[in-house]
Amino acid sequence: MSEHLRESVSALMDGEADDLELRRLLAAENTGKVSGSWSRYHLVRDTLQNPGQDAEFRHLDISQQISIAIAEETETTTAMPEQSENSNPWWKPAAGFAVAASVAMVVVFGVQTVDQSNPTLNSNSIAVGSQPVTSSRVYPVQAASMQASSNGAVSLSSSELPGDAAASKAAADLEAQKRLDKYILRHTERAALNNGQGVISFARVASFEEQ
Amino acid sequence: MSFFSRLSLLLLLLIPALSLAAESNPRLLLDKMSHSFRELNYQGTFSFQRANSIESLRIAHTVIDGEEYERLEYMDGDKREIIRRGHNLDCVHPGHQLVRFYQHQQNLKSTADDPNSLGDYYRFTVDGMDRVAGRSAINLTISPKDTHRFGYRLSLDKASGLLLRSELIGPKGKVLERFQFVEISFSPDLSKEHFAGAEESYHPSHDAPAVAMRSVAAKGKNWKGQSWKVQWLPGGFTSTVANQEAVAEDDMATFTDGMAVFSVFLERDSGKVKLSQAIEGRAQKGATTAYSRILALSGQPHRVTVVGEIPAKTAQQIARSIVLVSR
Repeated sequence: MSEHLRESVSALMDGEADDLELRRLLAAENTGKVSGSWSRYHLVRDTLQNPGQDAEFRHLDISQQISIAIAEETETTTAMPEQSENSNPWWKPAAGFAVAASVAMVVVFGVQTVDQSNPTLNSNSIAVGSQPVTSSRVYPVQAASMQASSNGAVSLSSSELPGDAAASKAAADLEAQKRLDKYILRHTERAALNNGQGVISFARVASFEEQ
Repeated sequence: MSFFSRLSLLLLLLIPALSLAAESNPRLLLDKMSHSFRELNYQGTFSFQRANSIESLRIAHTVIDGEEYERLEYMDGDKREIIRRGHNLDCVHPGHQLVRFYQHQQNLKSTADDPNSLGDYYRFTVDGMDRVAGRSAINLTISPKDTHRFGYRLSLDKASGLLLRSELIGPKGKVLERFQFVEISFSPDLSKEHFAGAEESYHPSHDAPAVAMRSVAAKGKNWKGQSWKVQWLPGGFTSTVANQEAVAEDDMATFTDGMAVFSVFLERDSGKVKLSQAIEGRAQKGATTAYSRILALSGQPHRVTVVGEIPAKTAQQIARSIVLVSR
């Protein structure tokens, strides 16, 4: 599970997650780890906020039962064509793809921030107990927040979705990241010469590579 | 004594008074700032904060034989540094000209008729004295008059005019990024060797305002007989390439209002992307916005990307205004 996902879980917990993060979390491949983090973060927060209270209920996990109840309810009401394996009824496929494609750009943008600013936390997968509670909310969502707007411009028919969507999307994302990095660097070079605050422009470049 | 000679005598008497007023005149302060960071010798450490991340950097800047030498080292994370050498002091780019022209205008008392005056787009106020990095500083607030640019809260060194602290202010007074010297010393003894740099250090390219036009012709081979144009620019923004008038033959065009800078990139898409996938993407990091979308220009998919320290909505509006022009 990536640092970015953990960050999103944390944001969701704080009520700061936007639609995109929520979707990213729901689409995450390893839902077990996501929900694991979700409950661990809550445990940490509850423990810190109300030490000693309601401790007897903490081990209970009723999420399974709720899921089953919801699933039964859905089956009885409306049939969801082509949605059965994804089980995200409010998520339209066309918009979903557009969102996912644009989100990729963010992830990259965000990961960079993470890597540059706080490398020591990247490999740490367990944030419970020994770490202070702030570690579950280290990276600000705003730093890497990204919005995809689908203002009429997005019109995808399902035939255009490639068979191996994930793989080609990943390649496109990498390409988009490289392009953006290059653009930002080129912009910075000119900005430094023109904005009267020279040094600041270069401080804005989190990473740079010679071409 | 005639009326005119009396008037000129009065003006002569006023000149020392004007120079005394420099400390409280925001426009003169700004002019001093644009000179000082290029012309002075200094060495120091500053912190740079945006959103919740903070970084420390060390800067050394010196002028040797009329040329600038600058070394910027990142103190956190991977070892990185940026070296800039040999930028001639006489090489003044349009962005600085906007700021400097300002002073010129002040002296001529003809602020009203120039369309590209900073004063038409920003409000300047001097907010008293402060202390930054152990030095006395003058606070200067620069607020935008429209929504196409951000505001600034600057602290300038009282003695030299050097920028010691800068806050970039977004909508609702939110601080998007903060730059602040922790310590600084003036006139350090730095030789050229100090700016030799390690092999892995990055050396930015430098487009001289006039030369850029020529190099463009070579680079622009992808644009067979065609150039492109940014039709809509926020008020006060001009091209950083002199006399270019918003027509670009390169894949890049940069614009500035003297404070903020943004760049527009246009790329003919290789054909992998279908026009129906008109996806737009937007990223925000501190004050830097990146906005990208696919546009159909002459029936061909093109990718437009706008990068700069401007609000996202403005970037979007700029990206939408790109057109191809044939020559």
